[in-house]
Amino acid sequence: MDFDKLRESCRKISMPPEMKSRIKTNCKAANADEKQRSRTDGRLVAVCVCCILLLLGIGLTYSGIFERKLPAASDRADASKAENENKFAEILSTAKLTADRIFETTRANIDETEMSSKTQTQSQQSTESTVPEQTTEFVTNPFVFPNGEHAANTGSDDLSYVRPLYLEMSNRENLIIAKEAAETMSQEDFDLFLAENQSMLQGGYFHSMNAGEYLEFTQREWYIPVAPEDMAEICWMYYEPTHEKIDLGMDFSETSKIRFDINETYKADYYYKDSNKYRYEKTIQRDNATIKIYSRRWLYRFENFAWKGYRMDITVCGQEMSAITTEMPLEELEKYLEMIDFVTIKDWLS
Amino acid sequence: MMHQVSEDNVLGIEKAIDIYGDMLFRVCLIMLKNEADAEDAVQETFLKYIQKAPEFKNAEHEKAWLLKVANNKCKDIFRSRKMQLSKPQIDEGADFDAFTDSITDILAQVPEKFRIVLTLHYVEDYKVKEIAEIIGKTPSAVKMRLQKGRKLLEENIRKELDFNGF
Repeated sequence: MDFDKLRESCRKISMPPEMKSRIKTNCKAANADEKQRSRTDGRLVAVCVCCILLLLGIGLTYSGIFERKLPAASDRADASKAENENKFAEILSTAKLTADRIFETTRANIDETEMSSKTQTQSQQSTESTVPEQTTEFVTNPFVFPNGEHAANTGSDDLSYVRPLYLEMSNRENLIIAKEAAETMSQEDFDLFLAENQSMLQGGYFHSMNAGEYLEFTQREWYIPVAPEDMAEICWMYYEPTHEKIDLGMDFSETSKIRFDINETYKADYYYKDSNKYRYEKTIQRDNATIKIYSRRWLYRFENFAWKGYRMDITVCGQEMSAITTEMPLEELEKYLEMIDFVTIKDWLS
Repeated sequence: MMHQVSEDNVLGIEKAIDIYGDMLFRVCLIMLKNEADAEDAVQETFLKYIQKAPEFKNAEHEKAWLLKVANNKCKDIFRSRKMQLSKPQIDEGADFDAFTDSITDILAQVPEKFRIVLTLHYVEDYKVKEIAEIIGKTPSAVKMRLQKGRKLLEENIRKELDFNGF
């Protein structure tokens, strides 16, 4: 068997040129189709992937896989409401107790002051002095903690000193009364008025005098009781006509009083030693209720009240309802405020 | 020499047809004994070459891949022919004779499974191991087929000689 001959014979076979060109043409066309098909396939795959991802996203969203495992909504709402009610009831009862205690203490201090004021007035009248230099001696701060410690001297952030609740909304009105009294009364009557109303006034003075406000007690010499450590932190006040700075920290840290001269207008401003540390303010808006919460030091300093805690200005339907401080730690209070709902606030205030 | 077919490389397929077209046509024609079928098989092979756009290590690898595909295409055509037994048979010899001489005819008379082995070995100079890879059989099976194919080829030659009165 001659396989070389077989090889030569077979190798003579070749593709006819027309067949070759035909195959080439067909292959070119097929190549073009293939490219088009691959492009279409690519687009189809992309669309499919997008659809799958979309469906996956929708599925996961509605399947609740990302939702926290919590009790049923109704149970949760009931529990939350009950908890809120209990908490507020607790706060309110504590507040009432504390307010009673404050009232008693203040009353006692007022009685003492009245006695001393009367005595002082009598002695001044006897010496026929026309303009007394210090006609009124205010009690530095009538409010003390139940443990007997003077509230104004507890400047630390220790929450054990935080006292429960105080409601004070009448100070501004009282100040207006005092202002009218100062402008219309005789010196004697006004001194008497101060003696009788000092607790009302001293509690409310800084409450109403925010930064930038004017003090308009223009006819009388006026003393504001301020805690010593507050003196150091209230840096200066403007003496309005000349814009002269009155360095409060220097002048009043010892006397614990701020003296304002009659017939002059002062513009108050405040400086905080460490505002970042003390300042805390948060507003929570829910439905028609706005709750503003301030840090206890802020409250403490501005209002000259010794209560540590938080003040909440609660505005319901555009009307300011109350201010409140609580003994809660800030973090707890924040969490708690998040849970408060409008109805609960309304019920509580009513 | 290697011609990788990329999507944009039309020249690549043309060059591949120029280089391997004759060889593939030869093998397919010997296998199928029909020019039209051989053309179909070759065209299908190159279409697959475009679709798959495989990467080859070297020219031999490319050639072997094409042969393997062509062999499969031929098998497909055989299979379709068997399914069309009821239909009138194609006259295999008509076109085939135009391309071949007597010895090639004798090779074409050997059964298909021996024919591909003999063609690859004696016409395309492939070794047993390479043929085994192309047709997907073991080397020993290829050897057996070669041995049997040679015998069949000799018998056919003898018959041809007897038929011609030598």
